[in-house]
Amino acid sequence: MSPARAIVWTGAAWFCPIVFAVGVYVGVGEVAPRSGYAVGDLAAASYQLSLVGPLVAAYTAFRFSGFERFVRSLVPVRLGTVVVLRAWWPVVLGAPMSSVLALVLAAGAVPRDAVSWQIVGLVFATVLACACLGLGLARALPVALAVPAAAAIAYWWLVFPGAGDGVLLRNLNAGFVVCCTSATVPSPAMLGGSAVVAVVVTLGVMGLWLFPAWPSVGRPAAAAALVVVCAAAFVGGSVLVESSSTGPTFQAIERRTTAKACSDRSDVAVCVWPENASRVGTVARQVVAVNTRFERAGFDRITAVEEDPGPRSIGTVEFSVHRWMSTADVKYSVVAGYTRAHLACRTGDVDAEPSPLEVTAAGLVGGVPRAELTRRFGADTVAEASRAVGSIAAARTWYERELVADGSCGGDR
Amino acid sequence: MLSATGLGFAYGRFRSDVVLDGLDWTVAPGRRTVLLGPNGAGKSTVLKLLSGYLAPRRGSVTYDGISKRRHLHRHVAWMPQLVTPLKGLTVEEQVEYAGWVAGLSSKDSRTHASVAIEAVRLDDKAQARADALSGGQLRRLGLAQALVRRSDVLLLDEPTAGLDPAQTVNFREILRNVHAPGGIVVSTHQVSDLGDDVDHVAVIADGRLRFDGTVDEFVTHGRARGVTSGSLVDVFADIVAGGLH
Repeated sequence: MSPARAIVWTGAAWFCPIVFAVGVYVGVGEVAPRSGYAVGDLAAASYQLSLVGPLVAAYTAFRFSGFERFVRSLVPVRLGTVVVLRAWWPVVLGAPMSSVLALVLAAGAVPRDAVSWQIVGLVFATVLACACLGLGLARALPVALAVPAAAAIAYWWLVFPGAGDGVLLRNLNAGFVVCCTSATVPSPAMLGGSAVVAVVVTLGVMGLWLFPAWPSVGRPAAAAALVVVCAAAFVGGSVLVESSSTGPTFQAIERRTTAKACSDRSDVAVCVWPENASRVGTVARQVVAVNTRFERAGFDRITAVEEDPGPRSIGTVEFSVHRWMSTADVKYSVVAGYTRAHLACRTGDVDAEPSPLEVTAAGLVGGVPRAELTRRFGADTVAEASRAVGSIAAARTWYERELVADGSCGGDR
Repeated sequence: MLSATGLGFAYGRFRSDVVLDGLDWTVAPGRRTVLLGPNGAGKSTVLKLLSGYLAPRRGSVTYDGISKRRHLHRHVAWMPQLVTPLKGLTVEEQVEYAGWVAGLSSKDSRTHASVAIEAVRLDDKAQARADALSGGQLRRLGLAQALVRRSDVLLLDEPTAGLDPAQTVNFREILRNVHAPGGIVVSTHQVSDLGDDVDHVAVIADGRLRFDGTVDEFVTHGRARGVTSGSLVDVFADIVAGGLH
C-alpha cells in the first residue's frame, strides 16, 4: 500500500484535519487571552486532549476492527507490529501531529525551552497512546463495545481524577489549567508520570503484536493482556510520581526558575519574565509617573518592581505585566503591589491583602485612571477613596495613618 | 513435507468441544488432495492448524520437521472459507498487500500480484473495489491472495461451497492450472469435488483421519468393503460410518 493510498484508505486524509480543527477550537477557548508565557499557554491549550484523546481512541477502535480480521486471515509472516504500523501510520502518527500543530497554533507559542518541548512531546505521546489504545481494544472487543470503551477509557484517563489527588495519574487536562501561571512550571514528576503512562500504553499495545500467537488468541485473553498493559502503565507512572514527590501530596506544579529580564534605567529597577521583556520600558515609565505623583503627596517612592518575586517578603513590590494588559492595567498592578508591600510591612504578614478601599485610594494618588478603578471596585468605593485622599494634605495623612508602619520597615520600596 | 502428529484441538471456553483427537496426517507432496468430511468433521480446523492460523492444543504441525508457526506461515498458504474484502482497497491492492504481509518486498508483491490476479482470471477486475466483488469473484480473490505468497503448500477451505454450478466449474478450471510443490489440499464435504485432477483423498470424521490414499485406493476400498453401487458417495458414507483404512 503506497503512502498516499494509506493516507486515504485509513481515513487520515479527513480525520486528521478534524483532529486539528477540534484541537484548535478547544485550545483557543482555553488559552484566551494568551499570556505570552509559552509553557502556560501550551499547558492551557493542551486541554484539547480531553476531546481529541477519546476521539482518536474511538476512531482507531472503529476502523481497525475490520482490518484486524482481514490481516488475521492472511496469516502474516511479517511481525504484527510492522503490519499494523505500515497500514496505520497515517492515523497513528498523523493524529498526534495534528494535535500538536493545533496545540502550537492555539497557544500561539513556539516551544523554545525544555519544558515547552516536554509539554508538546507529552501531548504527542498522549494522542499516540490513545490511538494505540483504540487499536488494542479493537482486538479485544467487538466493534460495538470497542468504540465506546475506547472513548470512555481515554476520557477517564485524561479528565479524571485531578493531578493533585495523589497516585492516580491523569494527563494535562481540565484540572491542569491551573498550570501554569507565569511563576510556575509543571513539575518533572507530573510530566514524567504522565509520559510513563503514555509510553507504556503505546509500547505495550504495539508489543502485543510482536507475539506470533497474538492474532489468534481469543478476545478474553486479548482483553486480559490489554488490562495488564494499562495496569503496568498506571502503576509505572504512579511509582515514578511517588518516588519523585518530596511531600506527602503530589505537587503538579513547581516554581519557575527562569532568569528574569531586568532594567534599572530611570532610577527604577524593573524585573520581568523574559516573555515580557519588551514591556520593561513601558513599566518603567508607569512607575516613574506613579512616583512623581506619590512624591508630590509625600508617599515613599518606588525604587524596584518585580514580576512574581517569589515567596513574598516585606518590601517587595510585586506586579504583573502580561502582553494583553493596558498601560492603565500595568499602573494599577504597580500601585496594588506597592499597597500590598506597605501593608505587609505594617502588619508583619507577608500574605496580607489590602482592602479595595486602600488600593483605590493609593491608585487615585498614583494616577490610576478613575475609570479603571471604578471598573474594578465600583463607584462607591472610588467615591469613598476620593474623600479620603481628596487633597495632598489628606492623602499624606491617609498614607501615614493607613499604610506606613511604625518605623520597622519604612523607607524606599 | 507438511505433517501433523497427534493433533488435538477443542473449542469452547473450557475446551469441551473436542474437534480433533490425535490426528496424524502428512500432506502428499506434489499431489492434489481432497480432504473429505461431513459438515462439522473438523476439516476447517485441520486446515487452520496446518497453516499455523491456529495453534494445536495437543500434538504438533511441522513443515520439513520444523514446527515454528512463523515457519509454517512462510511455507503454507491458506485460503479461508470466508474471504474478507478490505473496504476501500482495489483487488490489485488487496492481493499486493497480502503478498507484502507474507514477507514479499513491495516490488515483488506488485509483480506477483499481477501474476496471481491473472491466474485466477480477475485481471478485468484488478482495479475494482474488493468489497464490490460477487461471491465467486471473492473466492478467486482469496485464491489470488494465497497464490501471491508462492508458498510450498496450498490449503483451500471449501473454495466452491455456495457457488453456482458455472462458478464452480470456472473455479475448478482455474485450480487445475495451479501448482504447489508441497501439495494442494482442498477441503470439501461433496464427493463430487473428486475430479479428474485429484490424485489423493483423505477422509476425516469425528476428529480422526478415516482414510488417506489415492483415488484408486478410495474406490478399491469401497469395493473391498462391499459397496456394490460403485458410487463414491456410498464409499464416502461407508468410511465415515466406520470403515477405517
